[in-house]
Amino acid sequence: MIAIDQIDLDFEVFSPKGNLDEKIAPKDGAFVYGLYLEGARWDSDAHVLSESTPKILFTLMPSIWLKPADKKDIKFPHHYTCPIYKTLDRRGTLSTTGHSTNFVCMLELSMQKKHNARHWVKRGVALITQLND
Amino acid sequence: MSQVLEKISENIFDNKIPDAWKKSSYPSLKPLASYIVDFATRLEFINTWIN
Repeated sequence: MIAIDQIDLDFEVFSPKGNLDEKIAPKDGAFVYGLYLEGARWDSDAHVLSESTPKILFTLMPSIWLKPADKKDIKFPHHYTCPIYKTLDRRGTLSTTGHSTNFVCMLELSMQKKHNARHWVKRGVALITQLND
Repeated sequence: MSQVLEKISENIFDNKIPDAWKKSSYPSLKPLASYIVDFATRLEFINTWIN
């Protein structure tokens, strides 16, 4: 048994291809797909954030597994905390529940050793659920 | 025709999501044409999910 306030989400990206089977429902949690990455791209081979390729603004993020787990078992050693937004204007109004109408949640993405979170913050790296066209 | 209806038809002509629809819709910055396609896909997804 894990107390409800001790549960948090762990994230696992489906890369390199085929390390997880997205056709089979997970034992626990959920698979999400269809997120777009702005300001960076996901390097599926190295399993890290990488610099965008020229002239490509958005890249499709591979499927991500959201795994509920005990807080103390979740470790993000070298990760960028990436926000997820619903639309590209990245802002919304606060609803009565205190949640933003545009912000979804934060997600942890692993980085290369040579980069730190600052590097990606400057590029405004974020995940977007839908594009403008 | 009321002012609201006129505004809606104007927005449709401009390929924009009418403000009156935005109030009850999920947030989206898409032009109207892609919005409709996206909306239809969402409905289809939710329908298959319910069934």
